[in-house]
Amino acid sequence: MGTFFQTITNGILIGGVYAVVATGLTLIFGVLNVANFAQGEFMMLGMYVTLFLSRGLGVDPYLLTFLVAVIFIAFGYLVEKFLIHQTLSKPHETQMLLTLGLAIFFRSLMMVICGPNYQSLAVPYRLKSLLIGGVLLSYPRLLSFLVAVVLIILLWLFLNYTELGRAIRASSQNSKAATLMGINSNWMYGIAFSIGIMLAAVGGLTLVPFYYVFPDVGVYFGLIAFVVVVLGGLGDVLGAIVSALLIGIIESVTAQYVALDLSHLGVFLVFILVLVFRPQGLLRGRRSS
Amino acid sequence: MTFSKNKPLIPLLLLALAIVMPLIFKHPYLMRVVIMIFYFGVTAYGWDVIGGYAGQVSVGQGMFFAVGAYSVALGYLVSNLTPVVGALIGVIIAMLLALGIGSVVLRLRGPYFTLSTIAACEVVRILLLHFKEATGGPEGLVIPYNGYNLYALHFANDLPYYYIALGLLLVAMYTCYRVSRSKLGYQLAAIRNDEDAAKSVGINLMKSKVKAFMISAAITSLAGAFYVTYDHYIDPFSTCSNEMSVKILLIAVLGGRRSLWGPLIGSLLIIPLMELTNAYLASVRPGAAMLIYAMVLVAVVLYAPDGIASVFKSAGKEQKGDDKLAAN
Repeated sequence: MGTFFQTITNGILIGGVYAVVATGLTLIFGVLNVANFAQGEFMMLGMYVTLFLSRGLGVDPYLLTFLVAVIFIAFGYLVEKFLIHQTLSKPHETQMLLTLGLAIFFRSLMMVICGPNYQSLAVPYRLKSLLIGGVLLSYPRLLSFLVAVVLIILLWLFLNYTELGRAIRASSQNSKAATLMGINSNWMYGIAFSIGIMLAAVGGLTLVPFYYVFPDVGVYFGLIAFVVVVLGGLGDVLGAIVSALLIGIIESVTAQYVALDLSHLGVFLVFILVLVFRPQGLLRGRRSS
Repeated sequence: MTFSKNKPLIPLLLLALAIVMPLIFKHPYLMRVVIMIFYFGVTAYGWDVIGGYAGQVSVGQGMFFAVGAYSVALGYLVSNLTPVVGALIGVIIAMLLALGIGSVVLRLRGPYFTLSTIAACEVVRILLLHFKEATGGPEGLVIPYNGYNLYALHFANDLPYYYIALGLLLVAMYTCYRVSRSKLGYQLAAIRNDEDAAKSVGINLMKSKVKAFMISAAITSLAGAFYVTYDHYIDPFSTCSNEMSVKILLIAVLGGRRSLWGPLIGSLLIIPLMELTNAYLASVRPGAAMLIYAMVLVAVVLYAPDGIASVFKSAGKEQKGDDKLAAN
């Protein structure tokens, strides 16, 4: 029984990171109607930037959250303005190919700069953990989960209680109507994309103390983010959060009770089942895709 | 083979050149690169059927390549089947796989199809790695070479492989050409332009797209079947990976989607460059080649969505059969 609770806890803790990255993805999809295939790569860039800053400044990675967030909001805004925006009026395949191109670009760029080696950051609490009711909570994983929770609460407050947040939600629900109400949708596209990218990067940041950093690290996380988003319903922020935790648990349970190397398989099986039976997302009622 | 009825001369000359060339230049490494250009060209034509004509971006073609390759390798190692039969089995399995994936996700619009091709490719690789007893796991499978053996398609030099690869390329090109001119091709064009309009005139969206995906899978698995016969070796990472799927997509998109020569042009440009960069840059800067391709891909998507073939086309006025009207 102890192992079971431990497995569930591990799943929930990593689910927090999935939730952050996937929320960014679903926000971008909701507002821009773009499937960002480079989301995992933005996460990877966030990991590298955190790694370099933390080493260079000698500061704990979690203390860099604000700085990394600001850097990637600016970066995301530029990427949207100069690249993504050019394709918004074009067919969906064009946007997909563009974000795929960006993904390969970032991956190979980091490969050229840093090489394929796995890098890690030594934090003093890397191997320390907290024991609560027979369940071990590793400090870095716990911290990463806490940062994720705080970030998601802040996002929720932003989307619900600020003028800008409401404008973003309006554009996400009906871009045309929002424009008619005087919302500058071009500005919204930029904002939503940069927030989405920032979430990916900060999701990456929270991983740095307990995960290896390498150029291809974003591939699996990007895919997971998509699985989460599809499971929660495309464009649905709350759905993404719930399904992220669920995916974390499924992954951890498969790894523990089926086979370690099949942990990803469990996630993909769920993905396929969702596509077959509930393509509109687990939580959504009658809204069709 | 009349690809362009008003000017059949250029394709025929090219074909004659392709047939005669290896008899004159006997450079083993060069021949190897040309063979690679041919079978990657085949994969790119395979991609074009689903990604180009059907407009459904697949980022999982590596799994069909692997299915073809593993069918040949396992067929030969386990049941002593000739690669010809193994390749046919591979084609059938690949088509069934495409049917399975396609009938689940091709009814949905949006990014679902692309996502599930990525996921399916991951699943196939995880399974190939997991069932070590059958597939050799990460070490892959080696087909022992015991000298010339026609049944196993083992030859003493690369010349026969060259002609097999050329034949496969012609088959892939011709299939693509037939698809583009068939009822299916026109249905796909209608779907690409406006799904609702296509549906309203009685086109079965699902059926057309699934058909295209199955044809695409079949062509790609043939390339995989050839690859393992030629290289005598297969492992999951070099075939059933995101990298491979992306490479196939890159070749097709850079060369030019929905064009007769596009995928071949893409392969002609990318494979030699990849070989060069692998030979000279890989040890110094891994990833340098991909970096260049990624930049070209982004530039092509933004500024020349019809690929490099379209640049040739506008320069040479007409290069492909589609231009009959323009030429008159």
